[in-house]
Amino acid sequence: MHISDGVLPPQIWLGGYLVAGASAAVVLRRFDERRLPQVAVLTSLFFVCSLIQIPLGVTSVHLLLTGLLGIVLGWLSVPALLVALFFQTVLLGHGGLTTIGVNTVIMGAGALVSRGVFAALWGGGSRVKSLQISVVAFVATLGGIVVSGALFIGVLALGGKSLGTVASIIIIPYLVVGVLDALVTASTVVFLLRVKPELFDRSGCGRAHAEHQYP
Amino acid sequence: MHPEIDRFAHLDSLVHRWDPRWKLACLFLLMLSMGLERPGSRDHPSWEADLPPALGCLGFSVAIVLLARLPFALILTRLRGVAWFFAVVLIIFPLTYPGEKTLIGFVPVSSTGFLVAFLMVLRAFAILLLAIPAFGTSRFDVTMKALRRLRFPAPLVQIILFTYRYFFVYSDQLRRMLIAARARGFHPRPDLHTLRVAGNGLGILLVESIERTQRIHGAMKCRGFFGTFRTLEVFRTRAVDVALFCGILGIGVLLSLWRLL
Repeated sequence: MHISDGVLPPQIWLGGYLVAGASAAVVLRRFDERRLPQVAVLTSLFFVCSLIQIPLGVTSVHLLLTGLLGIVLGWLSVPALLVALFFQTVLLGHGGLTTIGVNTVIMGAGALVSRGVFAALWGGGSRVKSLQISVVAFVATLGGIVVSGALFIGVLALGGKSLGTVASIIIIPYLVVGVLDALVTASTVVFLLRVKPELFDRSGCGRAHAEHQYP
Repeated sequence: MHPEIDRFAHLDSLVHRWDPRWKLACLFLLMLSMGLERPGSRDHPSWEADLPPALGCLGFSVAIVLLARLPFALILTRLRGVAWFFAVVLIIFPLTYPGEKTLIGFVPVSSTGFLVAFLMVLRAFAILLLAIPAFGTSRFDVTMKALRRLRFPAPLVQIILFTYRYFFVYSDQLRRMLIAARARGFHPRPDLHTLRVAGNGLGILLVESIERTQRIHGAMKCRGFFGTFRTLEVFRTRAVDVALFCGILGIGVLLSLWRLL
């Protein structure tokens, strides 16, 4: 679900650079270096999971994990996605270096929506009720994927009507895998909340949890 | 799949010997310029005005890749990533582009639509090809150091380096976990159990590696790490570096002028 180089008109990919660059700059200005391991590990997992291709009809898809990234990292998912997309472009040829900004905006919006929905629906109680959290994480992840998909189609449609049609065709397998992705994410979130609840950035900039790391 | 960016950095060519700072700056600017397009070329493309410059750009990119003497297989793998997308583009555009259509058999096809799609594919390949010599011809740590010298934000470079390091750890760890699961008689089936195993597996992977990275990061700080990575590589600008920069960028600008005017 990445937009390649050369597809979009220049004003759109330049705008993507601007929006993604500005938000990453704002997020990184108050970057707590103690969160570096967490960000890097999740970014890496995101990339490695995109290497595992699941065949689906004539095409193949992979787990997206934008929901997990958003739910765990919050706003830090913006630089995380920027880095992940850089590697996907340079190593796999997915996406492109000129469109890396636009792609970050598309996927980052999805991650942040997942995050917002998750935070809004889950009160943050200390007891982990697995069924409730599964449902909340599932809805949050799926919501994020739908938002990303809609943005993907919308941005491509700005480049012309035919491009919009192409986008709607490309997106179909991703919506199918989105359900699978949401199920896996829900299961992972329940596990993480049980085993390492301090991983979740609850305060918005991660001060509260950073103190846990080096006692 | 080897997630090794710099697998062919040990080869030798003019591009390999090019100072990474000048190389990155030059190729990135060239990519940007190749992403520009003549205003209106999306709605009223012309075979005479738009096609030759687009072919020229692709040819120039190919020339730079040839200059870097990278294996053909590598280039093919990188381009395969976008093949599917552009196959759909090349089929859908001629069929759905508004305007007059000619009948081929029973199917109404728009030649303008085909031209727009074809220009898009040429542009995409020209830019994508440039990314290969840009990041594939120097050792990865050297590339990152060069990026840092070009004022690329330090936290981003740090995230990139740690992330890259973790690809290899993850590949090993995933393989180990898959073997362990298989040894216990696990078969993926479309049921709740498989889902729970997958979810827990991802969770364990995350928790384990985060704790490990925290330890590594802590150990690095104990040894005086405060955000700058040091390598023995010393950058020195030679006349050749600047000449290559100016030459390639100059041709790039000329190509852009040809395309845009």
